[in-house]
Amino acid sequence: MRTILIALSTSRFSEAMVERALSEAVSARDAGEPVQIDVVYILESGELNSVYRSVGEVGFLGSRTQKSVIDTLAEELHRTARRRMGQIADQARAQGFEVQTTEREGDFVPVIHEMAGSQRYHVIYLTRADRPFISRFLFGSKCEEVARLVRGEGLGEVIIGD
Amino acid sequence: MPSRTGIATLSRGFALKSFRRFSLVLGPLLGACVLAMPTPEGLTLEGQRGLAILVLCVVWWLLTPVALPVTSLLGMALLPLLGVFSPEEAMALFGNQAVFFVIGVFVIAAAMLQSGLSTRLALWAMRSMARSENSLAGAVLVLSALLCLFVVSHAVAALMLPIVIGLIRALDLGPSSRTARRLVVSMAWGTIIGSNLTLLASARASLALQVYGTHVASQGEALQPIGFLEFTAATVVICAVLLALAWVVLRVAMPPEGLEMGPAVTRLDARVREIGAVTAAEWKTVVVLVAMVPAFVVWGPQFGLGTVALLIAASLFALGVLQWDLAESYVNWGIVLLYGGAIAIGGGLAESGAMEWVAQGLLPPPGTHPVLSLSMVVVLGILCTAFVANAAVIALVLPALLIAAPTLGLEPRVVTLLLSVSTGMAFSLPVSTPALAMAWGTGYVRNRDGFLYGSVLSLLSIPVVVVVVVFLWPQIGLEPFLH
Repeated sequence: MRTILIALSTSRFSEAMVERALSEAVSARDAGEPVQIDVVYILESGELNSVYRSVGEVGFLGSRTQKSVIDTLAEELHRTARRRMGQIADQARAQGFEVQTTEREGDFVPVIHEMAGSQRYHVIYLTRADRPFISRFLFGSKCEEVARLVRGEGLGEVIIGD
Repeated sequence: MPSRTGIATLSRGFALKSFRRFSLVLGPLLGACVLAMPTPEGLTLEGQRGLAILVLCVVWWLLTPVALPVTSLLGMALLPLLGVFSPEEAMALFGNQAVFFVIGVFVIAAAMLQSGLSTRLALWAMRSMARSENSLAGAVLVLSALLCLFVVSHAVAALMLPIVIGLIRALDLGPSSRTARRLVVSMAWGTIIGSNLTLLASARASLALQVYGTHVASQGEALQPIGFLEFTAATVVICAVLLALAWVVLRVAMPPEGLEMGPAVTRLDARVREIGAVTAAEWKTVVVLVAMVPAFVVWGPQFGLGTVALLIAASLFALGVLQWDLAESYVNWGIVLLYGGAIAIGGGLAESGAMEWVAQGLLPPPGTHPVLSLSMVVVLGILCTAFVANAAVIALVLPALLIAAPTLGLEPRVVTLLLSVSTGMAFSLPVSTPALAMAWGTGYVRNRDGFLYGSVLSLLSIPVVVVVVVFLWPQIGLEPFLH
């Protein structure tokens, strides 16, 4: 059984990586191997927290307004998650695969690391939009951090989109 | 050449979050270095101590290892501790018109939000303009700006966000939709531009006026006040031109997708029906708002804008539009600490001579044309406010600029307005202002797009402001240059 995880998040999505993951699934199936595709969408709590702080500490709006803004954003991000995962499920279905979709809240790195440990995927595709080098240098690359952890512990292969 | 893993390790080492933690130590460390240095020529011992406080505050306000008001409080505590001011003098600076004006402004915003009047106005205006993608995006942009006539801009962004999200859902737009992106960016840019429209739209303008008043008093000069209407008269053309430019930039960058507007209109109709008939609280809010502008214009110069704002806030409570527990939940009262502290720190730095010394360093080379100096003030405001809270920029940069103004050939009153306006033109980074943080938080705006188009608008805004200041402000009695 070839197990593939496609990981998406609030700030990361690359259609090319999804296509690459599906093409690997097709190759495995063609080679006679059964394939399991899981899709996880991570709603990054850190991003919502930073908006929460901005509204309160810079905008000086009170707890009621902060909560209302975060509730609106969280609801919208859930909608986006359902939509994105639905698109991938449709793409996979068109190629004859059924996919399992999951929505998780939390930080990108620990969530993927935990899933890699518990599910032991053969390969994890981290889909993300391209970011310039300077941005990765200053703010760090969560994808590379995941890859380092997962590969370092022998939990599977990680493929990062560029 | 470092490996990818090596670069990742470096990235983690330089991650902003870690750097913020490091700045908790960096601020006091740099401040201590300034204290330990031999006193520079032209600076008094008090000035050197003031400079140490300035360095600490700049580092902490920039990297925010603690909340902004905490830095204000620490700065205030350090003024008497380092002997820059007596404790009485330092604390007395905290109580000023600007702080009470800001309290009033936020209470008025709370009343608008609580009564539902602002939501009704927004829905009504958008319903009448939702004919095409272009007109809908234009309505969001202009309405977000116009609501700032009565409500502080951050509150307008919070109010508009669910309405805009509702439209996106009604139109069934996906995460890659240009129209969705255009709508949320229009909301953010509209509120940023609108924050320059009146003194009620942002707290930074009143802070700037207070800093100007303190500066004039310290120079022993006669104060030429900037009134409520005078402020709007100075900024309205800039706002109008920037709104037009913003619409064009977004129209070009995110062209229409040819969507059918019917679902959006249906959604707006449904929301209008949901909120029902105009309530008594809304009528009372309207009455107070109608009385507010003449009150600011007539009583403001005599009794101070802070006094009038408090009177208006009190009337909203007396009329039952707002209850105290609700007001508490709408306003983050840290704002009082931030603004009071920032004004005290700015005053202390000016009094100690530290600001004058810093101002010398800000001066452009001799013979610089005043128009160039003026442009530099605008660029300085835009650049600083991209990374630091605009209140902190006003508190720290404006006193130095006011001291430098005569040498720059600029009128201090104009410098005050100019910095207030330019610190309200941060269009590109989500850290700059809550409106952008909200827009980015929707997930519809990619970082690089937001930065690119925001930078374009910021760049375009520089000549707009300079042209308006040089050619139009003299027509309303704001002569920019000293003769």
